[in-house]
Parts: sequence; C-alpha cells; structure tokens
Amino acid sequence: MTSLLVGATILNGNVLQHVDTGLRLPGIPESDDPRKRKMTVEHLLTMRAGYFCDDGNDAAPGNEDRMQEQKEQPDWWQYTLDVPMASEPGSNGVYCSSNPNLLGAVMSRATGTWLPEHFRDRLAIPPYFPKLPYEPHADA
Amino acid sequence: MPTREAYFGAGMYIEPRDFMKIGQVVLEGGARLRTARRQPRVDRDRAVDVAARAHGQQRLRLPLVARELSIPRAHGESGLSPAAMEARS
Repeated sequence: MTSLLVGATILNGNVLQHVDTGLRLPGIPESDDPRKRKMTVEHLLTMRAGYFCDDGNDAAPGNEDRMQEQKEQPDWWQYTLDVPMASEPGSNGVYCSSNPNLLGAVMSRATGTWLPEHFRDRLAIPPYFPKLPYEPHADA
Repeated sequence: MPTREAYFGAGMYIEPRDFMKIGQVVLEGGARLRTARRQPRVDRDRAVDVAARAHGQQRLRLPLVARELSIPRAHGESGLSPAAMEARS
C-alpha cells in the first residue's frame, strides 16, 4: 500500500519526481552520515535503506518492536532517522518495517499534508476505496 | 504512532474487496481509475490511451519502463523467515 501511495504521489504532484529522489524532509537537518545522504525513496521501498534494522533481530536498534516499545522518542520517523547505518544504501535487503514507515514522513513532510488526508486525496477516492482504510492510532 | 501520525509499517485495516481493487490496479499495469475532475495535466501528457467510460470515469494507461530490482520477499509473520519465527517461539 505504501508503494501505491508513493506512486500516486509521484503521479499526481510535483513533490516527488522519481523513486530515485533522495530523502527531503523539511525541518530535519541533513545527516552528517554520507551514507544516509545517499538514501533514496527506492531504497526505503525495497527495504534496502542500510539502517541497522532487522525486524527478525531484537538486537538491531531499528527493530520494529524496539522502536515501538521505547518511550524516549515518540516520533518514530525521527527515531528511524537516528538509527545507525549497517550497510551502504541499496546493497542489502533486510525486512524492516520502519523503512516504509519513514516513507510516510517523506510524503507527509514533502507535501505538508497529514498522512491520512494525503492518502484520501491521492488514492482513496471512489471507486477504489469507498472509505478510508488507514486509521491513525494513538498507540500503534 | 504516538505523534498521531499514521504508521506505515503495519496495522492497516482493509477489506477483501479492497484487495480486489489493488489487484485491479496491478492488472492494469499500475494505472488506476480516477474521475476526470481530478485528472491532472501531467497525466494527460503521459497517457497513451485514455478511454472515457459511461459512468464518468476514465481508464488511464501509462507507459512502464521495465526495471530489474533485487528486493527481499516477505513471508510468514512480519516477513520473518520460518527459522526466525521458530527461534522467537
């Protein structure tokens, strides 16, 4: 679903031109890590961002359960941005839920639109989705 | 998320009929049905075949560029391998 929304964002607007676009997040300083600066939308879509993240490895800082259970950083987008790198972007595919989640930040901050609203405007219009399938959760 | 933003990592609620709609998108090569009112100009420029339908919607077909990608395949719970699932349990 994230891929569909990214595609719809590229198709419908001028914010994202291509999946090779680097991560542009207004309000967030560019990372000092040159590997993070190479990261693209495609790397996140294909779970090859290079973060030290593995949902099958609880020791990985970017692990989904670790991210959701910690309380120090309620902004999980920022939490992911702060995860150290383990490999070069594009070099290694590892199942990591925070990769597609970070694409939510890319789309939301690039468009200046709340994600459910962006989803509704770009994708969830009839006849494809008669109602909004994304529901924001306070605890998830 | 705690910040009230939607979480894109998991937790989407979707009905079987919506899966069918996603399948339709795939079968149409990534194009999707949209109302003419929302059709932006850039799409008209890129479209190679736009056929109006009686109920006011349009079929939009876009040229696709074949690309080879090496991507991880998700299987099992949260994409975990059977070995990883067994280790967890």
